[in-house]
Amino acid sequence: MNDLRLDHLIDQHLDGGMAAEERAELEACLRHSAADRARFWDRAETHILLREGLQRLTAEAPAKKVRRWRRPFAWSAAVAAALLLAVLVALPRRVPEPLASLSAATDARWSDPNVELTLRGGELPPGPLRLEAGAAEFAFSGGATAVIEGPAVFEVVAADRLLLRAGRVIGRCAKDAAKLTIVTPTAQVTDLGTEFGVAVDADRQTRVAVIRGAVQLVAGEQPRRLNAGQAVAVDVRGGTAPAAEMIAEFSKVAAILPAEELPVHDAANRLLDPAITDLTHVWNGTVGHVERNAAGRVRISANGSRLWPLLWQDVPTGAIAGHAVVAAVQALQPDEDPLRGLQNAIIKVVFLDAAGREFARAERHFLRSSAPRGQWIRGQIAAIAPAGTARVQFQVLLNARGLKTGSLLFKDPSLVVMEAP
Amino acid sequence: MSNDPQQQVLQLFVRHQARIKGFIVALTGDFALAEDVLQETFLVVQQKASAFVLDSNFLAWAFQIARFQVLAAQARRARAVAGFSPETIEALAASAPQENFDEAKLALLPGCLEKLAPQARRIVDLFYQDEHKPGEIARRLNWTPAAVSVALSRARTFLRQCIERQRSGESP
Repeated sequence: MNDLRLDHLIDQHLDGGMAAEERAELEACLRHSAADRARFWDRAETHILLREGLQRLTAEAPAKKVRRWRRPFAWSAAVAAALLLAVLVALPRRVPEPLASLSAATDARWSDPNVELTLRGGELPPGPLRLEAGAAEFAFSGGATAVIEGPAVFEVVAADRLLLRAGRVIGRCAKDAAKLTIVTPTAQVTDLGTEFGVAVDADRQTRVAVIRGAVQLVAGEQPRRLNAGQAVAVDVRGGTAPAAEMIAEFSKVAAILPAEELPVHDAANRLLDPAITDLTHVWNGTVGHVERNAAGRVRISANGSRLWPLLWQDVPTGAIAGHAVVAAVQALQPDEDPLRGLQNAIIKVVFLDAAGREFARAERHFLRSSAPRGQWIRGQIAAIAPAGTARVQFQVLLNARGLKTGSLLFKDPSLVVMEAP
Repeated sequence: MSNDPQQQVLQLFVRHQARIKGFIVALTGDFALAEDVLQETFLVVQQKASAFVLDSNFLAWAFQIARFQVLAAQARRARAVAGFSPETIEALAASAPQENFDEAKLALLPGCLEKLAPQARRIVDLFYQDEHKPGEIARRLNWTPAAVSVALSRARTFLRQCIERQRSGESP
């Protein structure tokens, strides 16, 4: 066979999707001719080089170093422990939808920065997670959400199942189909359409309180039903006792990341230029990623290399410690250049002290690539202003994950400081 | 280097990973499948590490394992997606290059990539980095799949020549 034809066939194979007749023709050559096999490997060499080279270029972007493993334990634990070369062997993987993803966080401090990067990238690191402080809300792919208050140690083991070793969790199942079971060292709590809290204390005692709806509690041998307003403590032997004080305690945790949308009145909006027309004096945007499109809407685009391109505005607030700050925005994923994979929108509130230092923050991930295109979707985050707040920075971000494509349009930004309770 | 033979085998795997991956990529013609097969291969290498005789040919041993994993992965997949037959894979595996992956060539790649025409560069990125199939790239660029394949072929030929030229230019 002439080299031109052979090269064409080899390239067809390397590109994937070869027609059956052509494959048969190529295989006949390769089986019978050593020269053709040599030419195959010679031609493949550039292909291999390109794949390796461009994959490494991608891997150099920090977001990609923490991709998920398909066999997280067997592979990464073995290699990392045995060789301390985890980064070298970090094979980038195509990412399936995680069992649960971080949907909101308030001053969350994780055990290590890699965990935080992975979670903020929309992925779930394998194994138990340690939240040192703050609160984090996870959206389970089964439909439930859980707000975890640190310090806590927990593990997401299924799309509707959380192992809680220490710390406090508020489980919420807004939709009927959503289910959530929280497993502790001494009890198992399954929601029956509800909002409920579960805590594991230092003495390994489990406390359960039902804020709304009902749950099924399995502790010791008998499953029992707990209704709204009921709370019990389960000791290490499975014995139970009433724990009424838990209702108030969990209601406080629930308020850190409220489930409901808070209404926002235009008059109370502290943001200047809510139409986002002035991108030089009032609003700030990541250069090269934030612009106004032909229709006058602000667009944040991935354009490669960036993890979190953003649009922001600083708002002087004076002393507002103890007041709830509620930020909201509408986002839309356009038909042309929509989000990909685990990209999503983030709304964030950053608290700055008088010296302009960032010292507290809260954020919510709210529009994912699976959301309908061409439709405005509202994102809101509420946080209590800590003592020392002098300014609040309102931010909207595209969680771009270093990808080359993906963009979001934004409108109707608002930042409201609520009256003190 | 560790004294534990099993760890030495794992270190050998890490050192030769790029070459093993290339072997799998070429045999499968499918990046996603190749990543799966590479992980499976690592797991088997790890399990069988004690069976490997140190100082014998590690790559030949690893290729043998990878070859079986390619066949197993192809068998698991939908029948519609054909791959090479076991005989062809065996013949190719026996003639696969066993020298170390050429990091020097890799270092020359970025400079040569910059010399590609913008559209060719875009296609190379979409294919090798973003793992889009030629059909998908064609749809995005409003080209025909055949035109995308030709562009990829030309880009490979150009890059290969560019790297060879730079290399011969460097050495006296």
